[in-house]
Order: sequence, then C-alpha cells, then structure tokens
Amino acid sequence: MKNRVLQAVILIVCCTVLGAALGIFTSRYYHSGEPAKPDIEGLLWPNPRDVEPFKVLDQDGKPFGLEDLSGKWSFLFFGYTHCPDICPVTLAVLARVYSRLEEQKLADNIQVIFVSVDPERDTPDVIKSYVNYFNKNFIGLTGNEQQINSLAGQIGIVHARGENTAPGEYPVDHTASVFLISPDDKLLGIFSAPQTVDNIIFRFKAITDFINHLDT
Amino acid sequence: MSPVFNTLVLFLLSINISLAAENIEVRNARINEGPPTVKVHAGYLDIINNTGKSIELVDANSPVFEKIEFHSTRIDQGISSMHRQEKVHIPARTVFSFSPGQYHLMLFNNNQPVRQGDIIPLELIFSDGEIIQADMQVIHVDPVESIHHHDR
Repeated sequence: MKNRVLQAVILIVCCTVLGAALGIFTSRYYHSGEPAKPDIEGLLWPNPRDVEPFKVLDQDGKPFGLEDLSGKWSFLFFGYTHCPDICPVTLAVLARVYSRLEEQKLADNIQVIFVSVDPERDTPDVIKSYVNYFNKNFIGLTGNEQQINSLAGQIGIVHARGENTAPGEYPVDHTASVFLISPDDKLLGIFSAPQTVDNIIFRFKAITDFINHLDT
Repeated sequence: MSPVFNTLVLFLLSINISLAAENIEVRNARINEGPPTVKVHAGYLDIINNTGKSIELVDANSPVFEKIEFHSTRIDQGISSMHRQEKVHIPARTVFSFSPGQYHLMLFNNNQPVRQGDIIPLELIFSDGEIIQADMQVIHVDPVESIHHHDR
C-alpha cells in the first residue's frame, strides 16, 4: 500500500516538472507575434496605439500636424502657462533631459513639445516666450479647443477648466504625465509624475534600445 | 568678576537661549523665476515652528505681488489639480515645507520683473497676530534630477 502511494507521488512530481519544463520551452521558442514586453516601467507594449492625424498651431502660428511628429522621438507634455508649479518644474526636467541627451549626441532626432490645454490665454506668442525660456529648440502648440482636442483626446489627456477665482484667473486640471511618441507615430511610453531627469533618461534609453533591437 | 555679575550674565544668556528655541523660523524662501511673460509665480519655503503650540499661517504679502495665496497641488490618477488653502496649520515643533508638487505660495501679478538673483521681501502673518519678515531669492526653475537628490 505504502509503495503505491509513493509511486503515485513520484508520478505527480514528474508530471509537474515535465509540464513546467514544456511550458518554459514552448514560451521561449514557439511564441508568435510581437516579442514579450520587457520590464520597462511606462512602456506601452505590445500593440502600441498609432497617433492619428491632427491639426494644431505651433508657436509661430503655423499649422502643426502628424507629419511634424514623424521621423523623431517626441516627448509631449500638456499644461498651461498660468500653471506655476507642476508645469515649469516638468519643463525644467525635460530641458535637463534634452541637454543631457545633447551632450551624449543623442538629441538629433528628439523633440520636446509643450501643448497648451488653455488655448484661450495661451496664444502662439505667449507659448513661444514660454517654451523658449526652457530651451530654444522646444516646440509649443496651441489652437482652438477643437484643435487641441484632436491631439489631446487621442493621447488620453484629461483637462478641465476650473471656476474663475478672479476675472481672467482660473486653474486648469490636467494630466501631469509626459508621453513618448516614436518616429513611426506610435504612442510608446508614459512617464508618470513626479518625473525625474535620471528616470526619464534611463527609461527612454531602455525603450529606444528595445525598439532598435526589434528593427535589426 | 563678582558672583552677582556672573549670575546676571548666566540669567541673560538663558533668556536668549530660550527665546531662540521658542520662535518661528523661515528658511530656504525662494521663487521660481519663470518665463518673462508669466504673471503667476510659485514661491517655496520651510516654516519651522520651534514653539510648543500649533500655529496657523493665515496671510502673506509682498510689495512685488498684487496678492499671495496658499495652494496645494494634488496628483490623483495622473491628473494634477491645484487647491486654494485658506490657512496652513503647523503643529508644535514641526517643519512645514512649501515645495514643488506639494504646497506653494501662489504669487499673482508681479509689478516688476522677477529675475534670477533678485531678492524679494515677504511678510507672513500668523493667526495669533505674529508677523515674520523673510527674503525670497529668485532662482532658475530647479529640475528634479532624481528622487535621491530631491529628498532634502
């Protein structure tokens, strides 16, 4: 009787080990479709979303659309120039990220874009002065409400104007994350607040390494 | 020196020490410079309540700004929002920090340029009527390098 129980236990253990080994083998050698998601915080993978065509205005009042994203890695941040706390701190972080990547000769195909969620106050002139303060190469986008939503809506940005606290003074609640769009117009990454310079650079390099490895 | 003189010196010293230990201190008061067109700035500072009682910061003034409010920033499910605070409560023997992404002085409508290196006077008014004067230094917006460096 004891021998039978022992044989049954050994059989169960063997089956379990064999099953696990078979599972690992098949997952490594027989997976199909896109590679498994690497362990990079904020990477939107697999099946990253395509950014659809949109039309807004840049800091010179000229049209800016999907074709202006193509071919570059784009960091996008949505905010407003009357925001005294989160917005300037985030743009200061992005300015430092950009200058660090410049020092490492990695900024040639990178653009940093600030999109206003308060187009009523943020005219192209206001946006231009604002982004230039952080870096002359930064791009500022504005437009009317519909134009802003043609971009913000598809990225998943939430923005809501608050009550007037005085004539012409109101806060705007808004998504505080920074988004990364690939040169082939895919929404590939999200850097949630609070962001730091080191963390964004580390994750950006990990994401680009992953994508470049796929292409080779 | 006579014993009476020594006693007097010790007595005066003890008063001085107790006064130094029972006050409200303001440290590290600063303003983010910001782009030239910006008319709303953020001010940050540490208020050290060395007293044995809670205090409440109820108002602030500066000759350079039309008005000053206290605001907190909250990030809830990735969405940032600002909330005005009528007053700021500081328990006994604690430090209250106005710092980026948490609390800030909302400084409205500067009547002169706010440039890096400028020193701007600030007056803080507490609920018991005490008024503290401080100088805010205008600094370039300070990016958060890393969580390690940010912890102060």
